[in-house]
Amino acid sequence: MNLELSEADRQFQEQVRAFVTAHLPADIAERQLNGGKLAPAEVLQWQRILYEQGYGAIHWPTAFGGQDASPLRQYLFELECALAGAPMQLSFGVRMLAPVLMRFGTPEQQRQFLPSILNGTTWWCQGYSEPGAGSDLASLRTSAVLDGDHYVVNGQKCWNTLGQHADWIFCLVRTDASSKPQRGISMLLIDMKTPGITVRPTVLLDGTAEVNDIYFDNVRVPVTQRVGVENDGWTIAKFLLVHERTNIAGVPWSKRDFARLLRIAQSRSRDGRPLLDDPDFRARIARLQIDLDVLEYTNLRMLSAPTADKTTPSILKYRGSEIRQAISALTMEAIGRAALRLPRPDDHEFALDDELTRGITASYLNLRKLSIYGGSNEIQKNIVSQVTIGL
Amino acid sequence: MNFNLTEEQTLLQETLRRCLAEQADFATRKATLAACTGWSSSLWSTLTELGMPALPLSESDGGLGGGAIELALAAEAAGTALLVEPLVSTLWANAIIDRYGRTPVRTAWIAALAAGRQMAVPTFESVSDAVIADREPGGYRLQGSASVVYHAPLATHYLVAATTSASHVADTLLVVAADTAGLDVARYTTVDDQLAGDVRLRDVFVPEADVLVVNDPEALAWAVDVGLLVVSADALGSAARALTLTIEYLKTRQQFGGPIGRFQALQHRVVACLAKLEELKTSVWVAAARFGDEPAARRAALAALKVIASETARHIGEESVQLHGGMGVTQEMEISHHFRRLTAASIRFGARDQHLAAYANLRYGPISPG
Repeated sequence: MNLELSEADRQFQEQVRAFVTAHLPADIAERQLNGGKLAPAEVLQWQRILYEQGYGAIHWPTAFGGQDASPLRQYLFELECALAGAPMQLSFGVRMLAPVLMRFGTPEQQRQFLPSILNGTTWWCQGYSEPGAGSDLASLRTSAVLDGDHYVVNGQKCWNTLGQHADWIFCLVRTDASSKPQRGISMLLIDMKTPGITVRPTVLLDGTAEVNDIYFDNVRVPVTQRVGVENDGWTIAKFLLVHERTNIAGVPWSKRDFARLLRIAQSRSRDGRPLLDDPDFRARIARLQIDLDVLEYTNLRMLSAPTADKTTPSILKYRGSEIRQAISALTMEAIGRAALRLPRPDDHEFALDDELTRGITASYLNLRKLSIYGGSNEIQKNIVSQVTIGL
Repeated sequence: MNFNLTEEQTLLQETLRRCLAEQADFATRKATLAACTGWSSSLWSTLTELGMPALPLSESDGGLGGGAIELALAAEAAGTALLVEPLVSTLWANAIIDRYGRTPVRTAWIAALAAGRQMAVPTFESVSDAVIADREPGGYRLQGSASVVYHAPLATHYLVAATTSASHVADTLLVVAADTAGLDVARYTTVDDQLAGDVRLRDVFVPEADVLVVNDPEALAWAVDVGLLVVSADALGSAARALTLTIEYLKTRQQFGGPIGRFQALQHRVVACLAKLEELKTSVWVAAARFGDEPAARRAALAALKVIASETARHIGEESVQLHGGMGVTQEMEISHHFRRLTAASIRFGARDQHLAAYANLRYGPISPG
């Protein structure tokens, strides 16, 4: 047992830190760290910078332009980026679709799609959930019917994240309605400019349109854009679930948010002294810091374990969600009545809305999603229960 | 960075697990408790033969040279098996003696401790648990008392924390033999069925040769932290066993035409316990690994550990009883014994709040005057 990083890993972390310091645009960092907003183009801009410096997708195999980075190094990379205020990499291409294409895609598909994911020129989004298929994803009904060398897709996807900016979507569709729910699902890659696609934004708690409903009306998709075997899309969906576990706890972003909470608690005052010195508040923030520290080491413990443990990722997902939500709730309490402001895009910026209060309420509202998406906390508990109790 | 055990550590873990599974099952424990001796000297002999008292002692003293990780592993096994024998107290005491008591004068004594012929126990669980030590020619004169000293009735020696100043914080550590004039032990049993006692010291003279530490508060803080670690590791073992028993019970207890474990309301409570158990596990190993660090980092990790251990011990203990229904409150069931051990663990070495405050002071500095 050894909590110290190896010399090589420590050097890697320092290289990442030096790279981020040198190349992360200061105005992006300032907004990321202080509750400002990013433009979609800035997210792609950061991906392009990462790509140019060889950090485009460090977890990819070197053959595809990655670094074959260990889970620990992936974690260190995300941590350095998050703490410095870098935008979160768009996970749909880099983390979700790319591993699927490497495992299930044809060489042509890999050649066509992977380079533009890496260099940030294609924005991907995900089409999984439907009005009748949320936690119970296998009951999805969007249909794809073969017509010559095309599928004709009809149906509705929802909770599609940032699809209004997307160039392409990877979709789970039903190609065989007659078999049991998990069978008969296929994965299609669809160009968002294809005729018949309508994107309708859904306004969320924080007043922004982070997700969309997407309607497919006789959308023709070439058969060559199916990933893997027809009717075997559920295998791909499950592969994605177990593949994406390095950062399931979201520790880097919780650490970034916690650092801001600490700054606020040191700067604001209550009863004539720093909020951090108020005994009740201090106990709460300290308790949260312990939770976060333990979460980080539990995450690292999982990353360093060679065997696949079926319960820890689910525990990390639900505890990670709870802890990040708790940080955002305590931050909102810390700023008091300033938390009542939720400016709309066309509102005037108030002079009183400073870097210690900006975006905090919006973030609290937005992060309710953490415990709902990607398998709600209750679904995660069902998974753990299935493994441990098995009834 | 890795969280793996070495081959020797795995061997230690497996040896203890096997030995205790054979010789310290629940039936044996009940027989031991019924016998009114409060412990099984034959089980203690077995543990002594396995080298447990020697585990924390240096190899040059006939010990096994175990560090914080090894101590935590042994203590975890003690908790799993609900041991009432003085394994945890002995590990703790001998670790302190190994660090602060090694002089040629004490070679014979340490050999006797390693072999289990003599047994020392600490009388303090906090640096505030200090008796008064007055300087006298050739030694110190002690006045005061120490309450709830685990395994006090079994010990041949006590490691007593004392203060030589007006402060209440211990800065001095002394060895006092059990048969010293002026030392009395009031014997009783604790909430978790362990032998304990209140130790009273009236005009007890301790010669210079029996003083381990003088004027060194950090040494006393270290000594407390070792005890905090092993008691938390004991709680980890007990909590893990309590959850295993609870899951078994949910699978077998039939109501409404099937096992009660099929109810989601109960399943999700178990999963919350499993998550807390993972967090306690992480905290124990991180704290053990921090023993080599500088004092402030070690103190923060140990304070955090006790916050987690106190909460988790309470939570898993209470949930396990609740999920066992009426059976959970009977002494017939093993779960009720774990519940009481976990209750003790949540209180020993100070409850959650004081450690949370200590942690906050270490991380954020002391509170400014309001």
